[in-house]
Amino acid sequence: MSEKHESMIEVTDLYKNFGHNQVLRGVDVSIHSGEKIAVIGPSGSGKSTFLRCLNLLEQPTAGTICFEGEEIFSVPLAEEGAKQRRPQPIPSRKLNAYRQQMGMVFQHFNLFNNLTVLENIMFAPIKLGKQAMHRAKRRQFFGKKGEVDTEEIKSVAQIEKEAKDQALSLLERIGLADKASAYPSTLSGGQRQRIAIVRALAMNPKVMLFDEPTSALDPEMVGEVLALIKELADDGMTMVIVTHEMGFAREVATRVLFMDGGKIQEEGPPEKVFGAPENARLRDFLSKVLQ
Amino acid sequence: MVVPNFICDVYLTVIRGTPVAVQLFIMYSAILAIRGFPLELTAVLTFGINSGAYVAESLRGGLQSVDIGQTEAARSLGLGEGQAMLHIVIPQAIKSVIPAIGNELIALLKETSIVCMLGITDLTYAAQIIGAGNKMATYLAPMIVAALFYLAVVYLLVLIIRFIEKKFKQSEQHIDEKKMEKSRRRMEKRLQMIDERYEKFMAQKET
Repeated sequence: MSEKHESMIEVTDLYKNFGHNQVLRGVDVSIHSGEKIAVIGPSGSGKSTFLRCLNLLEQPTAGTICFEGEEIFSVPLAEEGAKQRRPQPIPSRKLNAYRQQMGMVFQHFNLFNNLTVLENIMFAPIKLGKQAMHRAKRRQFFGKKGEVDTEEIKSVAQIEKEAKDQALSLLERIGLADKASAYPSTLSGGQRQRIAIVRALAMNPKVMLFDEPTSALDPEMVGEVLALIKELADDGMTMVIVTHEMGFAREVATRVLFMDGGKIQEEGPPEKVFGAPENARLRDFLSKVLQ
Repeated sequence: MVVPNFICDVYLTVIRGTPVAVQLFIMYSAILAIRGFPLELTAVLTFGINSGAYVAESLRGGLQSVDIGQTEAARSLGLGEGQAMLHIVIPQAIKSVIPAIGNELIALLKETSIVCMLGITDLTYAAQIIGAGNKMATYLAPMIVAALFYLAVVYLLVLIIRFIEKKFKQSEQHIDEKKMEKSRRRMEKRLQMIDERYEKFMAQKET
């Protein structure tokens, strides 16, 4: 599974309908470890829906999603005229385990308003760490002897200490250590988005998904958020970024996907997509965006 | 989920669609018409069931008023539905629900005056008995006293509700220096506790 050539996320033939509205009409992508993919396209083209389908916040109508060779979601598309079978809900444990490996950053930050900045970051690692500990203990109790290494089970004290140290060092990294005890409502948009990114990082995800991370920000705050994302990219994080910042996409992405009408119309390295676009709609889009 | 949903729907519709006095009488004369069943308990059950429907509606409103993004953020981190609800959505919903529930509590307190229908002697009924006489004017003094009693209890409730409301307002804007200091200290204490527990754990491990 750790082979370099095998793709990390493999999406085939992804469809998503909202009622009669077809948003995604067959998206095929394979995302390799270390890739930075920028998804661009006009609004309503299904970019955000595609991203939300990737971590199953939106359940696709049909298609297959594989993560590191494991099939997470698979529903065949119904024949023409036949009724689309409603997909079975994914077992929540599998779903949660899958999502833990994917960090998601939202357009509107979505920091937990009832928690302080530091608690926002520590919350998931502590909760899920304890959950994993309880599961391990249960397995140890009920399972065969020697199946679970006793040394491997962390204590609550260890989990909390690790989460705390990590959260503080992450805050230090983005220069907001002095805001640890502040509530999100007192922070600027740029600060909130940086904290949201760091909150996702605290779970040590393998992929980061960015859903228009700078669209809700005041112009003067876009820079700080993009700088942090770029820093992550330089560290080798695999990421998928839905963005309207063409300059940023060009600079950071290793591959650019142009989506329109629920399909990927063109993909390739940024030099090719921005420099020598083949698709007519892409040319049209770029001429409008880049002036 | 179809069956529980249907049951809840019926409950809300029936309870909110009929007067408490009628519900009380139905409970008294039909459902709980068991010999020796204490009348007070009948009244308590009826008002409980009645009030539950209204509180349920306020709670639903409160839960729905929390931005869906909060749940999505929690789920995207890998937290379960229940965890997201318990630690993220409910604490935020409570804040907006407290005034409505407080209102319901006050209304409930005053509504209980109709238990005289069953012959239970409550404050209103007692005042009525005391004031009974040939002239209507004799009711005035006991009724005013009863009103003052209600007012006193309700006012106390209002104070309590206000206090609770203030308690839950913590995470609102922290413009005020004092509040910021307080939250900073709380945080520091928590972090210190984590450190202490860790040290204790390590010390224990060594021995």
